[in-house]
Amino acid sequence: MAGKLLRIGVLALQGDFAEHIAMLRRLGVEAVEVRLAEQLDGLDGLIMPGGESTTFGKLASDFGLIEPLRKFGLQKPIWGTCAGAIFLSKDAHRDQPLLKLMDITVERNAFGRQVASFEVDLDVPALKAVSDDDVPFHAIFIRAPLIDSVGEGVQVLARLEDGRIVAAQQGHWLATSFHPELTGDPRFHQYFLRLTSAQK
Amino acid sequence: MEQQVATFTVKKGLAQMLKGGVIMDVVTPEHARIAEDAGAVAVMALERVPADIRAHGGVARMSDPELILKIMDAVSIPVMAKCRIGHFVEAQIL
Repeated sequence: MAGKLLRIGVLALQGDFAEHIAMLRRLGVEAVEVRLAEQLDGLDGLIMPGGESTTFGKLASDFGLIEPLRKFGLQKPIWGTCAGAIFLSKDAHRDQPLLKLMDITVERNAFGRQVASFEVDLDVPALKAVSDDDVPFHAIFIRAPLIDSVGEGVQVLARLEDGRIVAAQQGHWLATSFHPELTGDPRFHQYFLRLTSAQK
Repeated sequence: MEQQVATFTVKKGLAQMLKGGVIMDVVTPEHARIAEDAGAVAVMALERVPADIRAHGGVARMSDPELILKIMDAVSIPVMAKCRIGHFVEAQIL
């Protein structure tokens, strides 16, 4: 399936980028750590990991990465998990540097503090595109953000039981509140690779 | 599966999210805001920072819970706090 000869970058300013890289290598694609603008050259897609979005913003601003990342994102797929999703969004209801690419607004720490972090099984119909396994996706939410509104042209991929949005896609941009890289389940990564190879 | 909180995975996961970042020792909400603005991934709410303890002597104690709450209100990043080893009532307060 998808993945052959793909070069995927993982934003490695801070956070759990190593887990994303491990998953990508497991799927047989080339995974590259991205800390500088020139490291975006020649990539087919980019994953922005979990971590602290305020720290991403600070480091990306200091290293002149905001504009190069925006330009990259206009051409190529980007997937943000947790803090990465916040960084991809157009609004996080507070003053912090964001890429402002994807037409979603997010609420940081929407479920409360770390004591409220949780795991739950989610129904994600879109994953049927990459796998015949019709089992729920085990989602891990750590001080997770919530996608509290989506613009036109944004497709909701997953909701919690109470209807709140935790995964969305807009064209070649993907945002998830939870951490597929912390599970052994590669389906979300496969889904992103499929998006990437379609774009290539 | 029902929603589960406080699992090993979410606890270990938080540590994974903090990787590659700096956790700053802070004493006041003002310090915490400076740390957040400077890009810290988390703050540790202490009664005194280690340098002051070394300079003035004495033991490292738990911060005033009121102060910890104020620091938690001041920033959007995680706040950690410590208590004295064996002082389980302090731990329960935290």
